[in-house]
Amino acid sequence: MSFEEIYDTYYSKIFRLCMGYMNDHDWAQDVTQETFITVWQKLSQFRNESAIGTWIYRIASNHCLRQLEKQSKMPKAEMPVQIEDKQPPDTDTQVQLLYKCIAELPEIDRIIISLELEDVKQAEIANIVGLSETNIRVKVYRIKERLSQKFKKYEHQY
Amino acid sequence: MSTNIDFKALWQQQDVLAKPDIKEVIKKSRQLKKKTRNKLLLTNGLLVAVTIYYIVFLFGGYYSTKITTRIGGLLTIMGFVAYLLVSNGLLVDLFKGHSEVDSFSYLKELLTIKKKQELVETKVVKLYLITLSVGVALFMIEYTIKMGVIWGSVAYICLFAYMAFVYFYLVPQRVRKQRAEWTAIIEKLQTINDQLTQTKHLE
Repeated sequence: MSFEEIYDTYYSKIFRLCMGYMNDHDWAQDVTQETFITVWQKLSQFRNESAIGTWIYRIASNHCLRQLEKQSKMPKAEMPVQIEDKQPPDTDTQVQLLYKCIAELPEIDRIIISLELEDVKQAEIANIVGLSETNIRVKVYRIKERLSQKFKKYEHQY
Repeated sequence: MSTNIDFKALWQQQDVLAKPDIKEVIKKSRQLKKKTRNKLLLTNGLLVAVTIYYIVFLFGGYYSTKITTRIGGLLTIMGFVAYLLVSNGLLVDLFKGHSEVDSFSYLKELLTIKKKQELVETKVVKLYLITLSVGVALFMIEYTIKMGVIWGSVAYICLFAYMAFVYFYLVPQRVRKQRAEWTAIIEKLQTINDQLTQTKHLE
């Protein structure tokens, strides 16, 4: 797979993963770009020990985790994630709500659920995060439960 | 509606911002990398040049006659070199960062680097300042003797006042500010790491 092919195939997937983690369009775009720059720099070192997707998702997840340096300078708690000022159509609101709910989860849970929603196999998620598959299965189940509760709670508010 | 929410369908509906031209992004990244590398080379090159000049000056035997001048110069150089080695080693660690390992290993690596950075920013800087002050004080002896008692004393008072200002005011202020930042980052890293280790225990 050439770099251009990788970029075309994975751009949207990585962008959504970053959005799930940060829930901020510009920030997510920056981290997506940083991810692809790393992919570009390290592609020659990729040795097919894992699937290319797993490798790219690992880089993206780690770039997301690294954002806490910026987060600590600009604490998220003081800047509540808000739904945009303009009133978007109904589905958009639901999409935004979902991303808002995900961004409120603990960091590792954000990555796990984003990968799960992106249809990445649980064995692969285990490889990306560094946990066992059984653990991921249990975690995904719990996160989904939590997410549903959050989602319903917010839906009542709006 | 929400009894059975199709999260996957909602997830996929997220608007993706227009894909930037990757060639442009890579070009910028290359420029930035080159700029950072050049800056690093320049700083290190300058410091090495100064050090070499200093060694030639001290041990060339043309100017210095006193042992204090030589010891002072040597101490300053040693502080210099030690600081350079430690901070460059750290930079290498930062650049090498293995972002393609799994998150668990990555977080552990990040935590080690951050702790090392904190050590450099606090202890090594202080050590560097001490060797520098003692070094300069010794180095000046030969020249202040020639200046006479009054001007020599003035020079030493100025030197110590400046060093005291740096050591007791500037450095602690910087360290305090940075420590707060480091602590926040390390605590946050530890929290995320705990999210993983707690789950790992169950495996």
